[in-house]
Amino acid sequence: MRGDPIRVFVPSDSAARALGADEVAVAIAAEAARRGLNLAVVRNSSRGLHWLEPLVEVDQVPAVGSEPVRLGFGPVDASDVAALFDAGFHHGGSHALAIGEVEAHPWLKRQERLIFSRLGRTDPLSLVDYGEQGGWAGLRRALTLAPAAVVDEVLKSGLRGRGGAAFPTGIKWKTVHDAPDRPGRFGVAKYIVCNADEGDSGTFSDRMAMEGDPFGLIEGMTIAGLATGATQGYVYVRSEYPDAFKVLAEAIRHATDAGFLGPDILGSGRSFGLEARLGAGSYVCGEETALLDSLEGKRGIVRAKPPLPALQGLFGQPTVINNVITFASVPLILARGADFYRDYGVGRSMGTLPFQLAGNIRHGGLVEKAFGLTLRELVEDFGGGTRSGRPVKAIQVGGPLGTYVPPDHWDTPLDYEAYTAFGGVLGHGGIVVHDDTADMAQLARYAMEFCAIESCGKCTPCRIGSTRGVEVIDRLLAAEPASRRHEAQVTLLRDLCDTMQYGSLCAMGGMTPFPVRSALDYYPADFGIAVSRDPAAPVTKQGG
Amino acid sequence: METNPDRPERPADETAKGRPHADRPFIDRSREDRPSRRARSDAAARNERGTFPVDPKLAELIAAHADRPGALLPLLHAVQAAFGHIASTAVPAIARGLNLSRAEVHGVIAYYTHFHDHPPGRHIIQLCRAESCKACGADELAERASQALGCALDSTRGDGAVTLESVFCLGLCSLSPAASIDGRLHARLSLEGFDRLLARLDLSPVKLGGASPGAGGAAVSGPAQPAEAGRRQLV
Repeated sequence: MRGDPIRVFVPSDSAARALGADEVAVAIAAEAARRGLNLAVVRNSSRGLHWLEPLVEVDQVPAVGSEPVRLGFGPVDASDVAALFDAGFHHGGSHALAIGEVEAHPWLKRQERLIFSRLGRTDPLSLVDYGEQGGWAGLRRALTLAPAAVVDEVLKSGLRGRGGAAFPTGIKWKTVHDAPDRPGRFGVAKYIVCNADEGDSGTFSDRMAMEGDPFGLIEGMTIAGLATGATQGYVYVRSEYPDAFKVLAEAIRHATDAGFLGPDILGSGRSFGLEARLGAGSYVCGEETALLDSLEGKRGIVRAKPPLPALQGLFGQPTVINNVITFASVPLILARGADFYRDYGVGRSMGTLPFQLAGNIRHGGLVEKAFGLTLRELVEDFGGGTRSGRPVKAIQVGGPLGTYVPPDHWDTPLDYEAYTAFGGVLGHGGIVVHDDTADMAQLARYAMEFCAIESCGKCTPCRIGSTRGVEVIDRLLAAEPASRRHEAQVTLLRDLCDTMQYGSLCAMGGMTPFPVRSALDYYPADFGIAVSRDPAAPVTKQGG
Repeated sequence: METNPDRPERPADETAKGRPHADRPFIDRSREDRPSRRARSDAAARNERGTFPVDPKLAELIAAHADRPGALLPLLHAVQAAFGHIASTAVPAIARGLNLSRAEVHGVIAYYTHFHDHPPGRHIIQLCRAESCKACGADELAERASQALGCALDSTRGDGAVTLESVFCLGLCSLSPAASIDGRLHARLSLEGFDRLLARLDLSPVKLGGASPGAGGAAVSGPAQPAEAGRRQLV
């Protein structure tokens, strides 16, 4: 007689798989079979400790009758598997790769995981796991409330859009809730759209949420449907995330079969259908109106606002469009109440934000914390400095349209208002670290080049300005430093930045000046500009 | 619009008869010769009116998607998955099926970098060129790839063996630099590690349209038309 198999967990997240998790899973199963061990390999989601991936975990019962804890080993290569078995890793044996109890790991313990509480604990596609870990409680509560009460709860929680613009989610939902309920072209009156076109370099929290906890997103969108009276939802997933798309589509099927989605949600008689749609490699489709055009089957061109999508969105109908993390925050707000959520964060930035440590960083991965911690804590304490071991030169916060933050602002608390005050943006919480070999002039040039590649072309400042920007930077770098020609190009570049920032239709052209201007302001030496001013002196303020 | 040499044409003597018979869904290739100028313009006109016979697989995909709201992107994804690319010859049928103009369909294919209007190489290598990967040596990696493969970035090598593309973020930024080779992700790449991955690829020249070995074979030829070596078309 054999008892329950020992459960060994190998993440199925694409970050782990990109480092060979599939091979590790196969090797563990094969080695267990060879040794005649009763062992089951479970593909869980990733904990977000990416530098330890593939992070293999084993169930371990510390004492008779107590709850099992998970012991971790990482980073594991397929070639390490035989040695792990030799060391008896599957029943607590020690090995050089052992990191001890995973949830006691300081990197995880110091976090405040609200949205990503299930990460690593569950099999992403298991409805049983999701239910056991607090899933569907928010949806069940929303079904007992009037739609307006659900909107009110989200409004009170202070949740703001996590895609970057930080618009209060409750206000958006209220606008759609109050909009007239007239069926449109496809018989649907209102839509819920999830923006999962996470194109910012340095961000991957949407991807991890979709691959690691897809039911959380589904539950959040369903609650949005109940709150606003929308009956159809779409998740627009970028084509660079084929794994996330597959997991999400599968999760939608499971949820529909189990009655959490469909014409009669949990026997309530209320309906909400959901479909995952694939983008096709356009960065600007992350802008909400371009995304709506793309969903309609057109080129992803930015629309002029007004009309707001909340009044005339998808197929001309009132539409809630929010980011993945925004929707994924909602189930908890409903389950635990707005007050619980408001207790996290500072000022008007409430709740938690999953920060993503990326670029040249030693301990890269996902850190979910309440607003208010500092960049220094994130990069030095969590991140452990650069991977190259060289000093940090610049940190870009908020994706390719975010400011390069210089050392004098590394102790500014990470909240929306504090960042806006010095011309920075939190955006989607992506943090890209550059060491002292980075050439900020080339990165500024790249920001313009990227805008030229990805501009939708509707407005002139963005379409033409970005190309001119590359040319101006090229001329600037070719000119003799301190010459009149050099100075003229610097003036021209600043002028162009102003034109783009204030003249563009959307954030693509409007925010491309942020990285460019911050590189110029904080790292003038890279542009051949003599540093005469006191580095602590205030610099040109951005944003508005 | 320029004349597409690959556009299938029907013999001149059949062009006057209007819609093809239901029992002749395929173009009769055995009778095809170099068509006269007259036949070519007739054929173009027929194509515009949408009276060309359509590849049954394409017709099936169009029918399956026609009633979906915002059907064009899902349909184009399905066509590319089935045929490896979206040939210009498929555009009229798609436009007709979704009640759009050919210009609209062409515009969408051309707008999105994910859609290929020509067959890509046997292997598709995507290198991330965004900030996070740049901070970890993505530019050196791109240069190495370009040299080792003899293929400029964002192009397909002349012999069809490989396509080298820039991509802006694969979502593996904590493990930069990242690349995708034939849909398989690789992270924290070193130059040596990348060389090892390249060494595993079959970089022999692709015989156009032939039953070429390797995963990309289907991407080059249309489905099940081995006799039509050298031809790539959908309709």
